[in-house]
Amino acid sequence: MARPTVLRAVAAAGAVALALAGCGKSEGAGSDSDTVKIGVVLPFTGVQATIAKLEGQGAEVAAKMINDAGGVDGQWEIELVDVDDQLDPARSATVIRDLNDQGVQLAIGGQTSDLCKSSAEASQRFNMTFIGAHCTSPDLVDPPITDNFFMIGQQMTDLAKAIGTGLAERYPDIETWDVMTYDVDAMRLSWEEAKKAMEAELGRPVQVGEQYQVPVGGTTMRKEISGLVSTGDKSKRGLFLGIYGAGTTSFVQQAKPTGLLDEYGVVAQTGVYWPTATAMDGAAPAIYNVHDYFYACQDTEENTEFVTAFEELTGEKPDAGAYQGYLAIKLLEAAIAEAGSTDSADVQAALEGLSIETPMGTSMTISADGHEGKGGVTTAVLAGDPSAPQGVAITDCGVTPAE
Amino acid sequence: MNLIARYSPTATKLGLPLVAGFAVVAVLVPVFYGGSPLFTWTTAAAWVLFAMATSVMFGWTGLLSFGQAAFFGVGAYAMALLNTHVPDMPGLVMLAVGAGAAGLLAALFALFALRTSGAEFAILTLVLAQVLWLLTYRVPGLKGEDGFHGLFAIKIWNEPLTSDLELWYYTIAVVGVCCWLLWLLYRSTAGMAMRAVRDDPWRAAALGINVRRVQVGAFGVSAAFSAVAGALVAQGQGVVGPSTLAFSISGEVLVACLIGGMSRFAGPMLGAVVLIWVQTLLSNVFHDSNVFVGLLLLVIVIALPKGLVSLPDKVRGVRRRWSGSPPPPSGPASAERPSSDGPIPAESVR
Repeated sequence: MARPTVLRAVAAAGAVALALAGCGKSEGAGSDSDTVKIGVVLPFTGVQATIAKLEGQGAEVAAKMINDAGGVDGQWEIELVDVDDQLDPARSATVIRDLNDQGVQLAIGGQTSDLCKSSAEASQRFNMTFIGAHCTSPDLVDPPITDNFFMIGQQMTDLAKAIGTGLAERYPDIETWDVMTYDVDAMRLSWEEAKKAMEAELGRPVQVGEQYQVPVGGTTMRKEISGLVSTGDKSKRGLFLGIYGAGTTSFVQQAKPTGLLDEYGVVAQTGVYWPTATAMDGAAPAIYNVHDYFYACQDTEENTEFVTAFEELTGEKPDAGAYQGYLAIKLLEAAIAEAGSTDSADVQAALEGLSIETPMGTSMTISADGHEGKGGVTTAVLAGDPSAPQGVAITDCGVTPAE
Repeated sequence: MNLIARYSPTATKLGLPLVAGFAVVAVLVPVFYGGSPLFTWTTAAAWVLFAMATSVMFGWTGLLSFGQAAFFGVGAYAMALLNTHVPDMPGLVMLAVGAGAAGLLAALFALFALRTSGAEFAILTLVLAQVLWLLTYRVPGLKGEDGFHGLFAIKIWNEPLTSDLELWYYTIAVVGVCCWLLWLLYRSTAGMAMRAVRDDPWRAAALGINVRRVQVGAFGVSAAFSAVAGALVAQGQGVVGPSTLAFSISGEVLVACLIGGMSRFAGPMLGAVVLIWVQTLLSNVFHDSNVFVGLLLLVIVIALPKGLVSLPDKVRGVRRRWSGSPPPPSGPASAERPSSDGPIPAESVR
């Protein structure tokens, strides 16, 4: 008696699955002739949601500005389609298919290297153009991992060189560097490249003191902080941080009560610091940071328009992630205009070798063969200041144009 | 299956209804689904195999593992490494190599780990998975967070899979064959010995069963089929990274087994399909969908402690109470024991 009931249960579950799934094949909706759909693939939920929100808002601002000006090439209005990859490569493979089902053939996003890879691989199935706006690994480009993939986040090597050179110029008296990075190649590489750049600028070897590697996602850093505290006089020492996101917040909050961050001659970081700094309500420690963009470092008309539009939409200042989202949409706009078409293959062809002016006052050029966008990087000191916008003052800016 | 078993026990013993079931699913799913839903079915199919493989250890043999992701990941990484270094190797051979590597690793690990039992054993399996996860960051050839890509280009025999439909047919065929092999194992003397060890290892030993050998064998088989599932998922996604070895993978597959129920052969299959679809559908509806997935799964496990396969019995019991008819004669094997799968005949264990 029990077995037919099992079959019934399986059949019932199957029927429920059929019903829930809509009981039908997905049909590609296709873009209307006067609309171009662009997918925005980001981890809108989870530990990177704060950063992803800003990145998505950057794309939203760009789309609004373009639409307000009459659309792409005066012909196509941009419609953004947000999908949440939940910081999971498996999920990103699914949401790329969701986009394809909705007729989306152009997409941006990719918070990390593995997400850029999985999105690029999945989108290649449908010849969807995918711009990795936020990933930075040199392994993803030149040659590109897939023909349909382009990357505009500035590569870690460029970011590290810029911060290394900037540190040597501004803090030549620092004798020893303590280092703490995530235990991943990209962040270890960031220190190695920065060190090389410092040594080239100073003309002498750089001495390394304490060196720690913490797991990505690790939030308890008591052991490392104790080790750093015990190094004695820090006036001639620097601290190099190769961590980002929730790791930065955890480190700063745990280190602050020890006074450690104030004792160092300089604290430097490759990785996103802005969301951590703004969350500290004017009490963020001063950190010499490098990224593609800091809103206060750029004095161009386009930057003023971007910052104003971003503030109108969100009530906040844009960060580097927002800038990358903005730039990805602007690149697609330029490529569509160049191609005279929203067809994915035409847009890909137009992106190769494309060059546009950016709010940084520099140009971004997409390499025809390597598919990487070179647009320059910015260094600055971010420090808590209750009187500054969002409680963070940005000073000592330096813009390094692309080589 | 019961009716088939009654009229044709040989067909049931050979697993023909199971094979026919997979063939029907393979044909029907693309009729009703395309695009993203078809890919979700493909993922669910791979997870069906993963849940079945986990059930070999957890459900059949009574060994709880918190580190099943280790073998899932070994399969995925084996395929990625073979694709990198021997790109012309057929994908099916890669699957076999990955399964062999995982099975061997598991058997060696089990020889030492099975000196412990219960919670200690479960923790050791967790440690194994965490060590392998850490190695992906420490061994340069495993490429850390960047991982591997390009697995779409793997040639199954002579040609790569060029569409999601081909991927579906390939995945369901491999999963169907593997589940059929597991069915044969389940019905074999070795499968019965596993269940005897689960129910009472002391009595099983007294009956002449080499308990340690059965447990090591079950661990190896479970790992080998988990590796095949991991490789299939990797092929579907096109990429392999450390997340394939994450603890959450080990947890989710146990949840799939519990949702479906392990008192019957098909329980973990059902659980895997429900888990993947619930995750996917709720992700489309809610931000922070994992909270709702967790709540839903909690409700299922509390309301149906024996899993979804016990739902018909539950419904029948409710109907009986409403109609006031007397309960059927109770027996130890009526609901708890496998039925199509057959209660364990004591004489077979000897």
